[in-house]
Amino acid sequence: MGQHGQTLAPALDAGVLALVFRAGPLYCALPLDEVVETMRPLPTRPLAGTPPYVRGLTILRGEPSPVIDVTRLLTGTTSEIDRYVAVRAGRGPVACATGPVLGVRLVEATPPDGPSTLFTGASRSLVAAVGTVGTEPLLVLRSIRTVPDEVWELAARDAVTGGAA
Amino acid sequence: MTDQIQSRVEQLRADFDHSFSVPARTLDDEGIELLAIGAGGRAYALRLSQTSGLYPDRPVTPLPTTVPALRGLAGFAGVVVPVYDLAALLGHPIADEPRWLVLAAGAPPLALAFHQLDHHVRVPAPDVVDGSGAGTRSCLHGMVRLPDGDRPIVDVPATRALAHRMAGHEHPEVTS
Repeated sequence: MGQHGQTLAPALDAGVLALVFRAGPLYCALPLDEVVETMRPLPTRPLAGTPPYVRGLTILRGEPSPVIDVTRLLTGTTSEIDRYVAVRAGRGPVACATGPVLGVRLVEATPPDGPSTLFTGASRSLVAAVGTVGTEPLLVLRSIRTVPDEVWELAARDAVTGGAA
Repeated sequence: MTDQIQSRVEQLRADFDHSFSVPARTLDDEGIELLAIGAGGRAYALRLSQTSGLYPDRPVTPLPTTVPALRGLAGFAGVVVPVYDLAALLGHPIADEPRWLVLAAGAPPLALAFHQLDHHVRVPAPDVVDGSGAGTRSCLHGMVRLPDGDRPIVDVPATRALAHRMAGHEHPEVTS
């Protein structure tokens, strides 16, 4: 069983260089080339009428950006948010609200077969593969495509009107 | 940890966290550093990149010379350097003794004497209007807009070349 803050042993097989973090009970990884930076949680403004996994809008480097609660998205439950991970998404940066960031490591990414076919909806579009960290499952995530259009529209409106801090 | 240090740590942490919200700043490598100076009662500017040292009240040993602009010799780190009066090189009458010496970058070594140091400024590149001097003998290349007014920019390599022409010899320029 992995512990928060534990040092991760490098994978033996060459794979994808990824940022590994906790999302509630899960280990997750984001390909490093999609990650911009990590930070402590920033002030976030809730948005009405958005899916439960959208925590709201925050300001990333001067740009209103959606905040996705990765734990809520993947497990349906909430857990303590320890970090925001800024990732590149199609329409702008997205802040992924996560548990503790554990580090960067090579993870073996396999095609989205097997366990990942269990995912549906938004989580399915997010999970690229399922690997392991020791005896724990590791969800390898892919480009964030789960932000609803209305959230992006609100973010764009926020940018035009000056946004909220 | 004392309360004061704890408070300072919390402030630093808050400032760091807030920095992720502000637009990313790029390193301004477009700025130009200048010395705003006065020579012969006029305001000028020098590009700091064309200088290698600034010295007040440096003793200058006069030389018997037919070149009015040559004030004499001064020692810099064991090297004897000719000192020219910038006001004279710019065509102004030589008035009182200049207080400041600026060492020209590059070779051959040369120092320029001027009367007044106004300030050191860093300005955005668009505030500097490049331009060749009005004629081949001109030491002035371009202008800079400063809050206290526009100033012509003294081109140090061109000034060195002019001084050497006045002295009746030419040197190959080596700029740093």
